[in-house]
Amino acid sequence: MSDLPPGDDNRGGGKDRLSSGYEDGCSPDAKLPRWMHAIKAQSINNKNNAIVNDVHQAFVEGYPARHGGQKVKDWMADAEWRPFLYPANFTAQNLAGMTFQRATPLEQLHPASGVESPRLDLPKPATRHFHKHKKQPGAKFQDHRSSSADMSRGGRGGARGGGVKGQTWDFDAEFKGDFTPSEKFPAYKVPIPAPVTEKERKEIKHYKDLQDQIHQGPLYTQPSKRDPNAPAKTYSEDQFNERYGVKSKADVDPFTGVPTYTQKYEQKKRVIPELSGRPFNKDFFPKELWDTLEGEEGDDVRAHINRIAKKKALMLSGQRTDLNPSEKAKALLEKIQNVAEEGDEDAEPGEEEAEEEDYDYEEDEDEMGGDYDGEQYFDGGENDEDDGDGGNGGDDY
Amino acid sequence: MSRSKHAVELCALLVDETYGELTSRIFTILLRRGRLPITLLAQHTRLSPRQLRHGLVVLLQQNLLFYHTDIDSGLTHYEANHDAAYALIRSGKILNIVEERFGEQSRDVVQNLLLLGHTKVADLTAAYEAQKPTSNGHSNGHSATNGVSYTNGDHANGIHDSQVHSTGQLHAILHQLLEAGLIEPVNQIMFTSPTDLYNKVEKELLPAGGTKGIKQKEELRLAIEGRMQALRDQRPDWRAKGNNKRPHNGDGPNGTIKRRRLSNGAVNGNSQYLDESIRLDSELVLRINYEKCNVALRSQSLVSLANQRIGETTSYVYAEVLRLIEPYIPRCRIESEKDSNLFEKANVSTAELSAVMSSSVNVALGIGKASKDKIDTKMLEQASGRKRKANEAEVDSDGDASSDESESDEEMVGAGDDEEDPFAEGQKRKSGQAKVTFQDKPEDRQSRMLQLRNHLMLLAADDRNLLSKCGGGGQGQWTVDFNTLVKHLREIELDNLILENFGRQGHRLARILRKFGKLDEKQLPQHALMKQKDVRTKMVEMQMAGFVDIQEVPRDNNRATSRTIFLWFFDMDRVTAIVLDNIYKAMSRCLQRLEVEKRQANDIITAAERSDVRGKEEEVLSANQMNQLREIRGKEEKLLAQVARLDDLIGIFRDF
Repeated sequence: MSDLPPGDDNRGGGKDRLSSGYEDGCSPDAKLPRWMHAIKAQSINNKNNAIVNDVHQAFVEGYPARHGGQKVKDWMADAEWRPFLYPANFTAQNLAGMTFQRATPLEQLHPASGVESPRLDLPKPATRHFHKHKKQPGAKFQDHRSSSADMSRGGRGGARGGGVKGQTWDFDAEFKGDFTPSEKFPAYKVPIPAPVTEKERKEIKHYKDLQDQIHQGPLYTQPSKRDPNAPAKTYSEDQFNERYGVKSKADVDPFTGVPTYTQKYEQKKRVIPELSGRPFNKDFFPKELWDTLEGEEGDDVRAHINRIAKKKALMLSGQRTDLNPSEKAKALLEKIQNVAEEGDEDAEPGEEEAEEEDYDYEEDEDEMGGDYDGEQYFDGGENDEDDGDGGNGGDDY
Repeated sequence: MSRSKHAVELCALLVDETYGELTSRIFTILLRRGRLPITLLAQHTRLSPRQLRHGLVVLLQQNLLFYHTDIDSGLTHYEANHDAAYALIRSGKILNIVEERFGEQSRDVVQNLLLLGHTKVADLTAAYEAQKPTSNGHSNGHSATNGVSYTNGDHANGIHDSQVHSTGQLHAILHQLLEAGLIEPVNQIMFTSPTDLYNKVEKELLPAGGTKGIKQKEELRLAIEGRMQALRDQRPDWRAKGNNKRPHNGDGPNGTIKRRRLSNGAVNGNSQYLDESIRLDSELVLRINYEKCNVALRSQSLVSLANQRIGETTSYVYAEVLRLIEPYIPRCRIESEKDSNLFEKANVSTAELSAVMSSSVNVALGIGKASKDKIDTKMLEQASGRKRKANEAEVDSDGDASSDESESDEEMVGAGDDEEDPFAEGQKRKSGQAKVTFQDKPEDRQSRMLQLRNHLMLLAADDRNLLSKCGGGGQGQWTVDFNTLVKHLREIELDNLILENFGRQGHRLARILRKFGKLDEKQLPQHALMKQKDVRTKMVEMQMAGFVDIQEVPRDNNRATSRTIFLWFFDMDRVTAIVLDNIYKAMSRCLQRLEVEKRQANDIITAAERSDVRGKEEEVLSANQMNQLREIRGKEEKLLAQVARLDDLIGIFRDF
C-alpha cells in the first residue's frame, strides 16, 4: 500500500507516517477520526483521485477543504457525478464533521514536526506534491533529528511543534500562553580539566619547539588573510578563497602601516615556500613538479640567464677586445652570478609587482621633475640607517 | 575513504598550524574534493600555478599527500593523506617517547626528521655537519626526570648535550631508531594511496577470464590484500650495506636483547654505548614511521592502565614486557594473515625479561611477601581456565555493583574502576612497600627472577587480562592479547564518558545494555532498579546523544503500539564512531580557540618573536609584557594539553 500523502512538507509526511505506523511505534490509529481510515483505505496518492487528495490535504493543513478554487460544497456537488472518487463509506456527513474541533490537531499526533500558520492559498496540484515528497530523505529519522536539535539548545525552541509552548490549534477563548522567555544562559557548571602533568608539559614543549622550528624554516607560509577576525565559517569555495589573497593598499592597517625601525627584526612574511637551498629527492616527486624543485621555474629562468649571458658576452667581446680572456671570463661569470641572484630575489610575484609599481611611480615623478620629493624623504632616510649601524639599534629597545 | 566533516576540519587546521596557510588551502580542497589533478586544484583554490606547485612540493616533502601518475595520460592526481595529517598532533608525544627510550640526541635527530620530512641520510649528515659550528641546542636545560620510566632507579642525570657530535654518532642513532622501527626507509609505494595500490595490484592479479562467483572474488580480494601488504613491507634494505661490524646474525630474541641492552644504556643520553662504526647507506631516504609510533603509544597507555590497576613497580615490569614484544608488532591493527603469524611469535619468557630488566627497577617492591603463597600457579591456571566465565562474571559483578550504587551513593565517586581486584593487591602493596623499602641486600639472580615472575602473575591474574601465559619455557612464556586489552581500554573510556555525561544512572543503564545486548523496555527498570519514568527519561536523553537506540519489533502486521516490542540497545561501534566525531570536533574547537587567543595577543607574540628578542625575552621585555607573554603561553599550554588528552582518546578509540 503506497499511502504517501500529497502534502509537500514534512507535516504531511509525519501525518502519514503516524497513520501507517511503519516506522514509529506509537501508531495513533485510535486518535484518528474514523473517516480518515476510509480515506486511507483508498489510495490517496493516486493522482487521478484529486478530490480525496485535496480533502486529505485540507485536513492535514487545517483549512476548509477546497478543490480547484471551489468551495467544498460545490465540488461535492460536482463529485456527485463521479462517485468512484469517493471511498466506500465516505459520505457528506463525514465531510461535514470534518471541522477543526473534531480533527485531531497535528501537534498532538506529531509534536515535533514544524507547523506553520494555516495556508489559505490553493492547494497545489497533487502530482507535484507527490514527486516532492518522494525526494524527501529518510522520514524515519526526521522525528529524532528535530527533537534532538531542540534539546541540544537547552530547551530553546523546543516547543516548535506546538507553535507556542505546546498549544494546539484548537480555539480556546481562555487561552493564556506562557510567553516568558526561557533562560538564555542557564547556569552551567564549567568543567575544569586536571592540571597539566609533567609528562604532558614535556610533550607540549617538544611539540611547540618543533612547531617553532618549522615556522622559522623556509617551508612555512605565513597567513595572508585579509581580515583575520572574519568568522571562520564560510559557505562556499568562493567565499573561502576570497578571504585570502594579496593584500591591496586598501587593506593596510594605518596603525602598523608606517614602517618602523624595529620592523626589521620581525619575522619576514613569506607567502610562498622557499624551496631553493635545500635538497629534494626527486624520485619521490611527480615529474610535473621537478621544475619547481629545481628552483624558480628552472627552465625559464635558465633560458633567461643564458640569453642575457650571451648578450653580455657578445657585448663584451664586441666592445672590449683589449681585455685578456681570463678577465673576460671573470666578468662574464660575475654577470651570470648577478643575474642568477636577481632571479632568486624575485621569488615572490607579489613583491615583484610591487617593485615594478614603485619603480614606475618614481620614474613618473622624475619625469615630471617635482623638486620636492616627498616620497623620497623617508625612503632615503631609511636606507641611510640601514646601511649604517643596523646592528646596534636593537639595544635601545 | 572520506572522513567526517569534523575530521576534515581538524586535519586542515593541523596542517595550517604546522605548515602554514598556503599548504593548508591546498590540503583543505584536497580533503573536501578528493583526488584532483593540478589544473583542477588551481581552479578550486584560485592559487597561481606557481604557488600551487610550491605548496604541493612542501606537502609531498612532509608526506602529507599521495599521488598517482596515470601512465597513459601522464596526468598526476594528488590525494590527501589523512592519517599523516592527523599524526602532526602526535609529534610531541613521539618526540617524548624517543627521548625516554633513546636519549636526547636521538630526540634531536627525530625532531629534524619531522622538520625536514623525508630526508636522505647524506643530506641529514650534511645538515648536521653544517650545523656544528653554530650549534645552539634548543632544549638544553632539561632536567632529566624521566616521567614514566624508572623513577625508582638511581639516575645520575646531569644536563646533557642534546647535540650530535659526529657523523658516526648520527649513523649509530639512525641505526638504532631504524632497528626499533620508529623511523623507516621510504620507497615509492608510500606515495601511492591505498586505493591506487589496490587497483594496481588487482590489475596485476586479475585472471584473464575475470572472476566468477563470490568465492573466487573473495579469494582474489585476499590475494590482493596479501600482495599489498607484501609491497608495503618491501622496504629498501638498510642493514646489509656498509662496514657494519656488529654481528647481525640475531634476528631472533637474542639479537634484540643485545640491542635492547645497548639502548637501555643510552637512555641517559650517554653516547659511549653507541657503536660509532656503523655506516648507513647514504642514499637511504628516511622518515618517521607513524604506525610503529602508535604501537609505542599504545604500550604507554597500557602501562598507565597497569599502573592504575596494580601498582607502579608492576607497571615498570609490564613496560619492559611490552617493549620486548614490540619488535614483533609492525602496527597496531593486525589485518592480514601474515601479520597474525608474526604476532604469534610475540612472546617473552621470564628469563629473557629478567636478563633485560634494568637493575634500576627494584622488583622486590610492589608486592608484599604475604602474597607469595596466595598467588601461585595453581591459582593462575584456575583463573585462566575460568577466563571465559570470569569475563561474564565480571559484567555480572558490574551489574551488582551498579545495583549497590543506588544504596550507597557516596561511594560511587571514583567510578572509573568498576570493581575490586580479586586479589586486592592494592592493600598488600601498601603494607608490603613499607616493609621492603629498607631491604638493601643485593638480590641474587634467582630471587629477582622469582619476584619478576610474581609481578608477571599479578599482571596475568588481573581481570583485564593484561598478560596471558602461553608456554612454560624459560620460566614461563608470556604474551599480550592486544585486541581484548584495547577493547577493555575502550570500555573504560566509554564508561568514563557516559558517567560524566549522563550520571550514575545513565552509566548503569548503558552497562546493563552492554551486558544483555538488546533489552525490552519493560525489563530495563527491573534490571536497573529504577522507576520506569526515570528509565525512560534517561534513555531518551542518551538516545538523543546517540549512545543508545531503540528497535521496534511488531508482533503482528498491524503495528499497533500495544503489540510492539521496543528493544533498547547499545551499539559499541556506533557509539565509538559518534564519540570519535565529537572528539574531532572538540579538538578542532580547541585549536580554533587557540588561534583566536593568539590573535588577541598578537602584539606581544610578534614582539617576543622578533629576532632581537627571541631567546632573551626576560631581559628585553618589560614586566608588563612578560606577564602578557606568560599569560598567553599558559593558555596555549592548557589548550594544547587538552588537545593532547583528546588525542589519547582518539588513539584508544581509533588507532590502537
